[in-house]
Amino acid sequence: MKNLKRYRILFICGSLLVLYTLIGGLYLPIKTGINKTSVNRILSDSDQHFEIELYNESYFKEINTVFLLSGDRVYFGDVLKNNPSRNFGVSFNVNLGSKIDSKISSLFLSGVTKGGDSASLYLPECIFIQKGTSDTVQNNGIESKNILTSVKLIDDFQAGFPNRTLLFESIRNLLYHVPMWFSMIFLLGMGMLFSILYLKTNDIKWDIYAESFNKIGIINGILGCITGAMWARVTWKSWWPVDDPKLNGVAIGMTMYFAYLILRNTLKHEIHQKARISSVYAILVYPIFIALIAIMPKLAAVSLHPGSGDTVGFNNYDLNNTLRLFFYPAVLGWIGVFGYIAILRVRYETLMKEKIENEEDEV
Amino acid sequence: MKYKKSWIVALLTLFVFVGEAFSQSNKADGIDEKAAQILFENQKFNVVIGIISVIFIVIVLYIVRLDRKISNLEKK
Repeated sequence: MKNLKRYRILFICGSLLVLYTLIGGLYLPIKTGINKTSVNRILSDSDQHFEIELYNESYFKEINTVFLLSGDRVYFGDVLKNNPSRNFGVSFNVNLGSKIDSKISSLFLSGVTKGGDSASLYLPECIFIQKGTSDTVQNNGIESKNILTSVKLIDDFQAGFPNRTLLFESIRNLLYHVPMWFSMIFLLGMGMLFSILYLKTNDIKWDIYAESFNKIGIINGILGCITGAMWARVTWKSWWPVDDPKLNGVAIGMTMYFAYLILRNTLKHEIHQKARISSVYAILVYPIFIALIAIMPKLAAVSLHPGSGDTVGFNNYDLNNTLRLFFYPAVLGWIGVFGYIAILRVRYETLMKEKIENEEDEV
Repeated sequence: MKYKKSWIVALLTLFVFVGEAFSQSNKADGIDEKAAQILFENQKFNVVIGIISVIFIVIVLYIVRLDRKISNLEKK
């Protein structure tokens, strides 16, 4: 540990990767999408006008088709202005017929991109079609299977980060919030390995390594909690949604690691006893922590986090290739940076130990 | 000194390389300056900036504190 220079490469590589993800993650736009509609309810059997707000609309040359998809039926509307601007109007006259009740529908927009491709935008379950009192006409839209086969969503054409309802611009946080947890899992895992090494060799050096890696892992966890709370506030409208199993698991897990710090502080004067007890504790806690944050949420019935409970994993739906281009370097970069900080912490703890030994010798 | 210079050159190269690469891809996709304007109009972008700021403030404060402690111990 006397020569820190050889670890500097870890910091340099990590910093460069973090910088790359920082520049790319903030600079690259998210894809064109539908931001919102001016209404979320229309009446059937009468002319209904409303406005649609687009995001990054300049990708399109013209918007020529608009339709609502509900179950297996499609209801076409009219675009009031072909040349896309951020806000433009559409009109619908939907007939549900006498046998079909009010229902929820998703909005589709199709048009021609500046590259000449035909592409569609989609906003899921945004318009409720309420049945009008005089709606007895039997003309109940068109069968969706004939229409949807020709729909090509914009994701197939456009480069950029995915444009997802609720997340919108905050999808970029995937590059900053999620790597905190990956880095934490890595550092705490290393802490556990160093604890095993200490128990095997009885060399106090490994206890210093274990303590440093665990402490930096805990800082990672705190950062993950703070950044996660900020992201949750804008997407789930709560700083800490209490019914999310992953969040509850993290809260319990972090408490267990805080107990690790308290345990070490209470055994200050007996170095090997402190090392032995805290090593055993760290080895026991790590698998429980992983089970709480990674396994238990998957077994839960309901969850807000992607890939847990009843939600679809981020990997299947939201993580496109552009995002991958930055996400994996971000994970490696943050592991490098925090790994180096842990090494610095080892250096500090080693110096402290030497200082205490010198003082004892003098006495 | 030599080490510091190479570090600055590497950073600048990375800035230029990434910036140029993505400005090209944006132009090809027809995404112009308007996108940047919309980006800042959308409130959800603020949380990204907030999160990055929190991470960097914590890291910088922690490293500075640790560095000071190590320097003091090394002097002693």
